[in-house]
Amino acid sequence: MDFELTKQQEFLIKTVREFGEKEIIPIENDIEEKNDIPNELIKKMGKLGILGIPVDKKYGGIGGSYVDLSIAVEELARINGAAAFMVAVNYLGVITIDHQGSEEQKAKWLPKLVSGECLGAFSFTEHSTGSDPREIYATAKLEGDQYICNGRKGFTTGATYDGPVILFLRTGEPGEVTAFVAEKNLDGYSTPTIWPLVGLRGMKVADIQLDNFKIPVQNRLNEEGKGFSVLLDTISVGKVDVSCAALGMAQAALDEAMKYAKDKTMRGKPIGTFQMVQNEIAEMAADVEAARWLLRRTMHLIDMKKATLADCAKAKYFCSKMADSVCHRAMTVHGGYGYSTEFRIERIWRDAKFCGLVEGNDVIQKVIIARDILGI
Amino acid sequence: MHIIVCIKQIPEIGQLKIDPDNGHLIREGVPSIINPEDKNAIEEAVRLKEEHGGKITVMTMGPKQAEDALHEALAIGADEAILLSDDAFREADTWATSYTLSRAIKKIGSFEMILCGREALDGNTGHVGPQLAEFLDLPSIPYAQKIVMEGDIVKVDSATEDGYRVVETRLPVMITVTKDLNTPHIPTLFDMTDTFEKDVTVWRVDDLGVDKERVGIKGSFTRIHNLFTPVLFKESVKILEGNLNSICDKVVVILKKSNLL
Repeated sequence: MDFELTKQQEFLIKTVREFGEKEIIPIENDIEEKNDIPNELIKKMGKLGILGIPVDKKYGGIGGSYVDLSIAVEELARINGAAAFMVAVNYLGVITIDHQGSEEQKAKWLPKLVSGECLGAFSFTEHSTGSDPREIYATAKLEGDQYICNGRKGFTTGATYDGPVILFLRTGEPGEVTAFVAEKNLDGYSTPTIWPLVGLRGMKVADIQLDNFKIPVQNRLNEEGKGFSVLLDTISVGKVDVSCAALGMAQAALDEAMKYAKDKTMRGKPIGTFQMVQNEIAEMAADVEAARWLLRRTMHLIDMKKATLADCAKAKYFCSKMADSVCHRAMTVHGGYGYSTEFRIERIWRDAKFCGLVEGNDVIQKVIIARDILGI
Repeated sequence: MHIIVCIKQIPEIGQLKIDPDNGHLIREGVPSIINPEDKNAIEEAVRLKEEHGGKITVMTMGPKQAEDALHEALAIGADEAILLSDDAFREADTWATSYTLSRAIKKIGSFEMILCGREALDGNTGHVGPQLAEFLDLPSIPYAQKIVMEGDIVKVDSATEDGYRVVETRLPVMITVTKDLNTPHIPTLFDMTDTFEKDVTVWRVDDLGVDKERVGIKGSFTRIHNLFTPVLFKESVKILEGNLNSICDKVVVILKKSNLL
């Protein structure tokens, strides 16, 4: 087993960090206050190459691995959770089209998504379901050479941005779901509710209302009725993708806690010399490191096409829970001051919470893991 | 036009730690970076190449790990990279370093411009660029804030203490650059995948035709006896009042009383 990073991966970390320090940190307060990630930043991320790491060069990507992706998203999340989460969500669209799309669909959408020209979204959830296809009620009815779509999809990140959305719609009996790639913001598509979030400000989450929204037949992904298998294929990677953001935010929380522990003094000594503070820091450091290698191993399995849904669920569960715990402990190290918006830890704490709630919350991940290992 | 850029890989100064037992710097585990003003030099070379055509060779003297710095320079826009690496080059001071670099440049052959960062953050001598110019018998222009090429004439805004002066000379030339010259761009991940496929040329002592007594520690006039962090004295601060002459007199008295004069 070789755990060493390649020279390219070390360079990747350095480049993403430099990009974040130069392009994101100077505007992070603006992003927070205006609740908006500027289009210009998204295009810069596209130009950097971070939006297309595992995508083939012929579609404008880097042609790298999923391990490379995890390294890049982790490093970006260490700088800013919202930007990293937006990249992670864009990858849900990218990966779905890359894995399930026809050559025409890939050629049409992937170059735009990896360049930052537009942003992808991924919409399965409805108010009656998080992951049960039998509870999908938004419909797509074939009429001639197009599907006429009606219904409401819930809580979709990126629903308001121009670009494609992956929609999962019922095309027959309950449970018969089909996946489509559709252009957002056309006639019949609206976002009536934009959900204000506690954290990850800058990232827009909205419901999608479809009123006789038309999707051409050639925009169907895979076959009719195969939507759930499309979902399972993408969601495995999606879980781990979001975990990268969780890991990066946890590392950021640890960084802040270490800085505070060295700078803050009591009785003439840095608080980092007190054993109870050292206890917190040590546990955080060990947890972050353990999560990092579980995540990278899972991404390696994805690169080898050997990852199971349970493998991905383990990484998602561990990273999300770890991030929540590390952020809490980092806040504890800061004491009351950590609750103030003057310190970065409060934003990281708010941002990281989201990781355990999406792409299947922590409870769902445990159900997946238990069913897999118990076999019952 | 052929531009040679000399760079140095240094430890990331902000991450250096101090051994609490002896006050020495701990370098293990500290990431390495291209000296910041050398990045400005590479950036300027890229700009000049885009404007006037030609090629850029980037060069450094160091251990094998310095290849990382060269790959990064290739990603920024250099065309070729050369590493001078040999045990014989170890513990070189700036004089021996400049001599070695000059022999490598002689081996390269023709060029129009050498660009160096003004000084390295870890040594802060600012010697190598001017010494290199001396070894190669080139005009030397320091602290460039702006470089303009007009045919085979180069005009440089060279920073002074209170402004700048415009210096003009014919090519070839050695110029040192400051961070005010430009803002280095961040190479993209696309650049990264291309450049790591390029080879770095490695030259050893026997490849350069050098006098082996003039390289490395043998060729160095300076020796580092000790590196330490001085102990901070938390003495009271005295603010001296009066005109400049009277303050100087008071300072002299204090220094004499402290046996420092």
